[in-house]
Amino acid sequence: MVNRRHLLMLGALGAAAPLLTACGGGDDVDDGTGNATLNFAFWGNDDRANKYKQAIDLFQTQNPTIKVQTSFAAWDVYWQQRSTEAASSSLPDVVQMDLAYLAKYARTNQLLKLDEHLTGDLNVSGIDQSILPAGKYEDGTFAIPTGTNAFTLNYNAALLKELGVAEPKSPMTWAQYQQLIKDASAKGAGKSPKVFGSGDYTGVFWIFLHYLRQQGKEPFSGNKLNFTEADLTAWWESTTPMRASELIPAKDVVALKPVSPFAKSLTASEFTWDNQIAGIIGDSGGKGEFKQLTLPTDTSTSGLFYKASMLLSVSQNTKFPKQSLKLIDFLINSPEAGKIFGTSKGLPVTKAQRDAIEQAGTDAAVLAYEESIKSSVGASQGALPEGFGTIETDFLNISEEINYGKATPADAAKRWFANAADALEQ
Amino acid sequence: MTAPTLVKARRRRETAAGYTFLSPWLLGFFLLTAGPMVASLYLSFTDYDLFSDPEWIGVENYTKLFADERFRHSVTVTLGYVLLATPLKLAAALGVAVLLNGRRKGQGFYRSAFYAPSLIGASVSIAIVWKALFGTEGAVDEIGQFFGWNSGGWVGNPSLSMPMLVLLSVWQFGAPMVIFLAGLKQVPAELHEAALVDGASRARRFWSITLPMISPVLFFNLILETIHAFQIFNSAYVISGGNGSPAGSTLFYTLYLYMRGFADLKMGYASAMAWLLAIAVAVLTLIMFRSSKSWVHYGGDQS
Repeated sequence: MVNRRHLLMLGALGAAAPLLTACGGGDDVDDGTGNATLNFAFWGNDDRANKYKQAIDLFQTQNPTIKVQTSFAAWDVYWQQRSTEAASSSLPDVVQMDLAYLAKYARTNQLLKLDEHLTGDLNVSGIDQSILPAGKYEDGTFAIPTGTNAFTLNYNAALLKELGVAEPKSPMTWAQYQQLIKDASAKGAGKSPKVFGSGDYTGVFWIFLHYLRQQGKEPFSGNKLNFTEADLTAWWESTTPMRASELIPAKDVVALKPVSPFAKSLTASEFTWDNQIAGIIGDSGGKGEFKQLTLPTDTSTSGLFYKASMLLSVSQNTKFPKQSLKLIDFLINSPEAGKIFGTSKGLPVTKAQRDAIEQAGTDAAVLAYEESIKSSVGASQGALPEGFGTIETDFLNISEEINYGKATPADAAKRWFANAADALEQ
Repeated sequence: MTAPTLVKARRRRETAAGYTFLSPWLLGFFLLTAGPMVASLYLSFTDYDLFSDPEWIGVENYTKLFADERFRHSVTVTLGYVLLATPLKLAAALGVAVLLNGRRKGQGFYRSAFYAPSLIGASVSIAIVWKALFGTEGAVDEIGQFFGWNSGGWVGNPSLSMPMLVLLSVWQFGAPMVIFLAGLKQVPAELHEAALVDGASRARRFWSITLPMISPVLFFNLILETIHAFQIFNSAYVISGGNGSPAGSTLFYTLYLYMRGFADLKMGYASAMAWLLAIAVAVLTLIMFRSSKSWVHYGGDQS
């Protein structure tokens, strides 16, 4: 039996353990030969955690002197944890990084500048030269991409067939896409529950950014917005005639969260990053047949680009920079790691890992899609402006109000611009 | 040694012992409550994003607050909630307490059963259950449909999401109920008997005897529940997915504060919000105390 004294002792030991390890480390930076315990944090779900566990077990067998302790959380919580750690300069040795946060962490000296290591401990020669610079902030490299994503228009072929609507072919114009939505919604109106062609896609910031690129506008220049209130108003007004009955009502979308109505066969199409198809299939419960298309466009450009995803950074305060670099090197170059992750973190950046992926299921679909757009992608997305996370969330919230009829597109655009000015100032 | 000095020394020893026993609480109070409060007061006059050192900007956070539309919206939402949830919860607590006050079989069971929700109600899991109950095709929606009311779920409907949270709060009436029960036990039976002899109706006896007699308890519960209502966070965070949706109808003050602080990393701004809330609640409590003189009757009072 555990009595109170035992519990107290355990508690005291637990409280003392971090102190002990902290004392053991001292302030010296290890030269890369000693025993090391690395802390590594990433965002994701159980599935990703399992994959990381497999990969890291393998890394530890190959590097017996290095132990890796992982921790993970969902996206929002992950960044809340990291920001409080950053306040006390105690980030984990290796952190998963995103383009939306890179500028903030690099500017405030939280991350190790990696340039001098790129020819030594960390071999990046396998990474495409158009992707590698995504991890740059000003003149230094602070993060290494591990995968790329591209945007896509998913549609549910089985559902369209059931509704008696012909499958779309790319490239479509935006008007043709809207017609497809109208057709599907008209046929789906008699079903119970009702089926729609799509949700109000104008509420997703990334789709708007692609649309701007199609018009030849780069959305940001540094920390400034490169588009106008009129651009945004026009974008939100483009689906106004359809909101009443041809797009799935916002209340149904909100009630289903975090599952998307598309995964539940309640809408026939949805825009996402291409690697998210695995999650959609997971939520669908085996119902539906999902296919991927390039985005509708009214110009000759697709607006598509590769976005570096799941970047990896080393924290400035690490005592084991060499071992940390070794871990990153393993995660981007090892074919075994590539096989474990498949396309779940995006398409791997190195050919060695891409070749290791088994050509089956969603992995094959994502590989095929990214291959198919290779010739039409524009410049890769670099670090996003600081405050991007805030303006992206605000975009979604404000457009939700349009959908509930609580704001007009013009008022909404005005408000979003005011908030964005506040969020983007440094 | 003379007797007085002995007494003095003993008193000093007792004081020291008292403080020693209090020290864990005092440490907690100064390190975990008072310290951070002072720090947040300082931060509320700075621009602080956790990454760089706080930068003094005077009252800019406060002036910005009053121009912030979402801030004003969150104040409206919160006040609406407090005005709706507090009276309803107190009414439910008092009503059930009156019913449970009489002697009947299994009253211990009923009291525990009604108290149970307030033990678990604030937890995250109950919020998740609540969301499932009131969602599209959830139990409440199904029952509504049976009676011909097609609500399409409360969670996604901006005019029903707030009532849903009010219901969640009212359901947790157990704690004030127990306090009301204790108050009801103190009402002298002879007053009721005398009124009964005079032929007073049940309603009249409740209104003229019970209510004035338990007014101190009512006052206590009112203050506690009002402050409690201002602090609603967990359930709103879970049910709205952390952003006050749908259409900002559940954007409570605390939720907006949290978003500004931890999602947007505007810690100075969030601190200013926290202090405004503290001041507002303090002022409101003061007003209630002032007003209590005219309606709260303490035993032995002549007024």
